Amino acid sequence: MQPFLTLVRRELGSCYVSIIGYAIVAAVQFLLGLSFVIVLRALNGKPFDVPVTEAFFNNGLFWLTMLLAPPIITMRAYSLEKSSGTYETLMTAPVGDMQVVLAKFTGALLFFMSAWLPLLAYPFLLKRFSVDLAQVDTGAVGGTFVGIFLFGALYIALGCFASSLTRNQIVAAMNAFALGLGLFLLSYLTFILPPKAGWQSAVLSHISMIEHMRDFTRGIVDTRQVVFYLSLTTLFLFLTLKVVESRRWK
Amino acid sequence: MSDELDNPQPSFSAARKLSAGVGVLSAVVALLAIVVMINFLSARHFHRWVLSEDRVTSLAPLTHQVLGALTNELQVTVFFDPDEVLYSHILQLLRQYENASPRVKVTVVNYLTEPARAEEVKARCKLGPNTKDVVIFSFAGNHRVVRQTELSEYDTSQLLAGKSESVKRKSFTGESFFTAAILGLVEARRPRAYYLTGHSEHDPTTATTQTGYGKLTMLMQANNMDTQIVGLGGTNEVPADCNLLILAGPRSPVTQTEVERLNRYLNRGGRVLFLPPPAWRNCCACGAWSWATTW
Repeated sequence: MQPFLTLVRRELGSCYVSIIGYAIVAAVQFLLGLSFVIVLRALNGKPFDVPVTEAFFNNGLFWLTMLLAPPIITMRAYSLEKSSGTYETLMTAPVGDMQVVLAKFTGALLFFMSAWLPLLAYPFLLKRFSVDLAQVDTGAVGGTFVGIFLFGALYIALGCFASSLTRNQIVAAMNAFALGLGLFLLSYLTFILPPKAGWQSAVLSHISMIEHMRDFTRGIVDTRQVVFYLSLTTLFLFLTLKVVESRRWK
Repeated sequence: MSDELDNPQPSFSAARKLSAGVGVLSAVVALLAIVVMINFLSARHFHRWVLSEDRVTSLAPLTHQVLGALTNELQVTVFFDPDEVLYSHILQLLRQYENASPRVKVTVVNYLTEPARAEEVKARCKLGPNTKDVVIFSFAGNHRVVRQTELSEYDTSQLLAGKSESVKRKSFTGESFFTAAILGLVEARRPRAYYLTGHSEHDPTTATTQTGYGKLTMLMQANNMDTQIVGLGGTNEVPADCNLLILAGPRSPVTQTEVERLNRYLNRGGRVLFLPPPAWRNCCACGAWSWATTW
């Protein structure tokens, strides 16, 4: 456990020490702030019949942040180590490959979630400066963060996998973005294709991330969605582990 | 010896590399299969936690009860033009029905872009040639059709007052009609409610006056209940098929004989909905409501 925690601390340290980490956080805050402004303008115009959390997260800027941040966070995970020559040092250290993979994943995920923490203040700011007498729906806020965590875990795992495949950070980021965007665009098919009887429609409905996030922002946690994200995260972490282990027999 | 130093043997032969690669590929395929299976099982057996205090997306308890009692697959066909105003509301509501029960399957047929499928649906559900913008519920070979015009409540006050030429939609009443349609398909027999007459009760067929109970009647019929009128004068008993007896604001007293007939009905497990008028003590002047004291 101690080597794992040491590696996690190392990963977090590399994110917070470098300028890239702060640039990522600043970019995320900028995009979320823009999203907040859009919601405020919409609320000034007419009454809302959806929860504020859903309106806040159901726009393009939110998805842009979700799709761009993980590849940039994870592009350094393995590629930088390989290109700078510290990869062999890490792999020859008395730590297992699984510990290395999990530590890099955990460090990146913790950094990703820390970038979203200021978002907690937005519903309370809205409540403080609006005439809405209702309490802040903490259930919806909690559900939203569960969704962000699950979504982030999947995309961070995907980014780690893409990073492990190459020595070039830019290629790693592009691969992660392409894979992530492909997965996301599959969920758009549920809006383009009308529901029909058959397994194809059921599969599209099951993997539709937009529908998942709509449920999360309404404070609904569905076990199907939790299983979907956790199982795919496990799959990509396993693939990353196999890539890391492949150095022994290549 | 020097030849071996100049050209060292690879630590892994091509065969070992191939076998290692095949092993990794097998492991990945096996894990992928496990992931697919886990997701398949989770799609069939799932639970939804509602953390939100507003609970704006919850279905009514009756709807949950009806959906939970489904024993076979319920096919819902949304026969709609996607540009219709209520289309997205209907789909969103039906998605909640799907989430509430794995036996609910929703299909959308756009009759404008899919004429072949539209004709197939019309033939299967015996719809008229000009039918459009309906939701069809199919269960065990039977069908119920809910039309778009039934799914809204309208505010006509402005129109009636001459202040506006248009009618505004007040609310979307999809859930009550959808659940009623499912009830109508699932229940083998329609429950029957009887309105008691002969005591100046409110008229159950009139919906336009302030005293008419027509709206209650329409609501009950929309929820798959059959409504009839019964009088307990002469030798009439409360009918054996009565599931609910409604006393809709009686304003004159009942006779002792009628009370005895009501007692017999209640003693065999009958149910009464008593809607007393403001001066209801007058109708109890005979003092013969023996069951009322135990109520």
